[in-house]
Amino acid sequence: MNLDQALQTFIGESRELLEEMEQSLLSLGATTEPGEDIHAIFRAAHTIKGSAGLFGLDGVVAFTHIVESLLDQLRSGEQAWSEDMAGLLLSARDHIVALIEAVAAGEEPSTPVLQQGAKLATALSACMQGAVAEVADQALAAQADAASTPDAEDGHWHISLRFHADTLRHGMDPLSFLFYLRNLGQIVHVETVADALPLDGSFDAESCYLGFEIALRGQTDHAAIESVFEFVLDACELRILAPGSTAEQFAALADALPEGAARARQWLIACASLPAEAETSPTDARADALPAGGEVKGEVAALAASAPSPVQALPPKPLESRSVRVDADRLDQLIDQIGELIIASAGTSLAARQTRNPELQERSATLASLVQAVRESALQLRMVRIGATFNRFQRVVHDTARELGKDIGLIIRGEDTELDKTVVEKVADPITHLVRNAMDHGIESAEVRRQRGKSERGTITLEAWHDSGAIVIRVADDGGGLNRDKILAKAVDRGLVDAHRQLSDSEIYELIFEPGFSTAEQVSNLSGRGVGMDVVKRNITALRGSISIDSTPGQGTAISIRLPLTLAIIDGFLVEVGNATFVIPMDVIDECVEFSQVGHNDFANLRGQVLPLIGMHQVFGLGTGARSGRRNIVVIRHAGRSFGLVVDALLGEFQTVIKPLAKLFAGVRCVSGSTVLGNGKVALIVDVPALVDQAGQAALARASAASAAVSAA
Amino acid sequence: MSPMPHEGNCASFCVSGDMSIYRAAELKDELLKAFDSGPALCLDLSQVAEFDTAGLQLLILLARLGAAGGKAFHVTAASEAVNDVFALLGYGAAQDGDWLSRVAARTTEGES
Amino acid sequence: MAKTIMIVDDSASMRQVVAIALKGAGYEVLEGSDGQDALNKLDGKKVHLIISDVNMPGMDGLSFVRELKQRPAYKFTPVMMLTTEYTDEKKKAGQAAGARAWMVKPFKPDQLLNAVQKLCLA
Repeated sequence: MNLDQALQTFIGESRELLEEMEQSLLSLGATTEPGEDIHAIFRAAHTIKGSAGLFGLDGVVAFTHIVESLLDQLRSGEQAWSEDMAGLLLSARDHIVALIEAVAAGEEPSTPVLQQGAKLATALSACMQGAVAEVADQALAAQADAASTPDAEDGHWHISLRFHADTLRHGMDPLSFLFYLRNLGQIVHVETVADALPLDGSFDAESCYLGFEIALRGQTDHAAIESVFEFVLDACELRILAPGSTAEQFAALADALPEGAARARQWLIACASLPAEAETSPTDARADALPAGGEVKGEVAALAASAPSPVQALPPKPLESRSVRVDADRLDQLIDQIGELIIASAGTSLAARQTRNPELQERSATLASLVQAVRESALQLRMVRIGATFNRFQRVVHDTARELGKDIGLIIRGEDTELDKTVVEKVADPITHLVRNAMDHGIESAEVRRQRGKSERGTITLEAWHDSGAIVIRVADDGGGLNRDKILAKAVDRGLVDAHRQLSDSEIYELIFEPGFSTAEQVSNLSGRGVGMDVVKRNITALRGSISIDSTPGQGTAISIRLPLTLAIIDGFLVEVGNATFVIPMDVIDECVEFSQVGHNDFANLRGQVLPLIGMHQVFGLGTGARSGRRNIVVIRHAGRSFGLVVDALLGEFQTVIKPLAKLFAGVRCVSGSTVLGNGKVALIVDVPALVDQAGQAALARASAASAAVSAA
Repeated sequence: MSPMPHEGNCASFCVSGDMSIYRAAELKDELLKAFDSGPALCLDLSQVAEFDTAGLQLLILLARLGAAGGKAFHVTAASEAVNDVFALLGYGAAQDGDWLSRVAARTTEGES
Repeated sequence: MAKTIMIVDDSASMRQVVAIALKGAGYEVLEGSDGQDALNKLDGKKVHLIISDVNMPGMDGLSFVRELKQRPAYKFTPVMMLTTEYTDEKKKAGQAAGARAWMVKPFKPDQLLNAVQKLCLA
């Protein structure tokens, strides 16, 4: 292990911390209550500063110090969190990245980086309410300078020490400080003062009873001597007399010592601090002749306390008076409990129906509708405006445009649209990717735009609206649109589609969501890194959402994400397969049809179209049992294709609370969660995207083979 | 640290291990017991690993008690750790006994 | 016999540099990545000084020191806190927990070594 290795550790660690810092800053965005995140951000800055200091990276230390100070004020609530603050801190974080990367490259930061740093430092300092810390620091430094006295050539320093009883219990060993004192000069003489040590039963071996009178010869100063005892200043009386102090000063010292002037004078004489023949009358001694000694510390503290207090009226925040802040965890708990309530209520309704007691049924129906209303209200509590998330993209667009050297503006619409907090948190990353992608690949260069007669400034539009129980988020650009032929050529080239297949425009556009697909001719820094649209799509489907694409050549591309308003509750359709009950999310279901026994097992004829079938029994390994009843087909639509899920019985619509799967089921594919039915039975929620992934391709192949065979027959 | 056979009328005691704050209370009791067991105490400090202010105070206590009660107290041997402290404080060699007067000077010089 | 010092900090690079500096000065060094890790690694071992960061995920510095001081083996072990600033408030909190020494971050290895030697000479 050497320092260079440690430096590499530092660089790696800093990169990681800076990444976390960015994520926290971005996720904080425009909240007004940064809470825990701010501690994490503070800790990141703090750790980087601390380690940078060890390596003597003064530039990093100086800059992170300012950032850390501001974060500290945010943390303590002295500063209010704001979106501007988030933006500024993001820039500061980026600057630290630049500094660290310079360290990694073994170079000094470039001039533009340094200039940027200076600008940011000014902006950050301006944010802080008065440069209190700096003022105090300077005062301290000045005080320390003033306290140091130039060493006289002859003579020695006299140090008088009395330790408090608790010193040893605190882990401080006076002898250790004395050993260290030898670094400052030569200890000419020490007198051990043990007068306080009791000889009777009151002697406590863990108490400290000692003091020392020390003569120290060396080129040092008051501050340096004091600093030797910095950790015990609270736990001792320290008096320091400079070489050449007057007899009056020593007399004053002797008077001040607890053992009495007469005895003290003997020690001073023994130390040769006082000449043996010196006869000073106690009346000559003036206490104020004693140099500051132990008092220096007190004065500094007083000075720091009298530093300008950071009082600065902030403009009152509008629109806050009528709201109450609630911890998100408490809301989650409420929603969980309401989930239980819904299940219990469903159970009650079922039981009521079985009693055939009309009054009971009536009342349980009323109860159920009230429970529904409570559920709606509770979910409403967790709804947040998407505006905060959207506004964050001002910076993303701004920064990305600069990186790309393009002139691009952002238009935001529907920022008042609300959706569940948990969805908002998860949707930011996919949107970021879409925005960057649109800027990188969608918007043409200024030159091309000019040629096409468009304004040179490209536009990204980010909008959101509600659409029948879902939220739609659309990222649109006014760029060149998707190149249908190029996509098709590439897809064929990659073996994603058969060259002879006839595909509609939208089917071709959908190909960009296929894993590994990239149309960028030149892999750019921004979006050509392999994590492509397929990842975006996967993330969206994981949220039970869907993604669609719309493009007009020469006019632009729009990608729409459709998401459920909440992840906590799902509108589902209950089906029975073998002995098990499954919930299929309503939003993917087109219709339900009867399974015709005379038809084929691999496909159904749905109004003249071949409908590939997926047998739920086979997928989940459930026996068909000895069921005599008819089977049914639930027609689902996923990724622009229809499939038929073959089930035993249709049990009807069911609004249900999603419970995460127990760990035991973590390995079960095609199931995204579970729920408890009114009768107490557990139903599994079908993960349709996973199901189609797993069984769709095979179903398609079987269906086309079978249908070909049928038509050939 | 165990009482050793008496050499003449001197109770011998050897401190092994640390003579520090961690063991000061326990050592105090043992040392006082050894000290009370005879007219003189011979203390072997050659096995002392760590020696701190708490250890030093125990020696000062014994020196003071010896002077006050007219008992003899000798350090017969000292380890490096003990010697380092003695050198720091200008006590001279522990075995010489000069240091006893330095720490027990209260009544003799103080009131003169 | 070399004295042993434990450094507790969540930053691996901080621990490494401190360890290099202390080993260079003749100390043995134990490392802990947070309070709990440190307690696990101490496990009754003799140490002469514990240097601990205040701000750590998991068990923070002050909780660590409080916990440490409950254990007889470390009742009298000096503790040096690594802090960003040393206000009266922080000092009181540190002292209440049982830490009497401190080092203000950022520091150079030499500064740390100086402070360490005041508390326990190599």
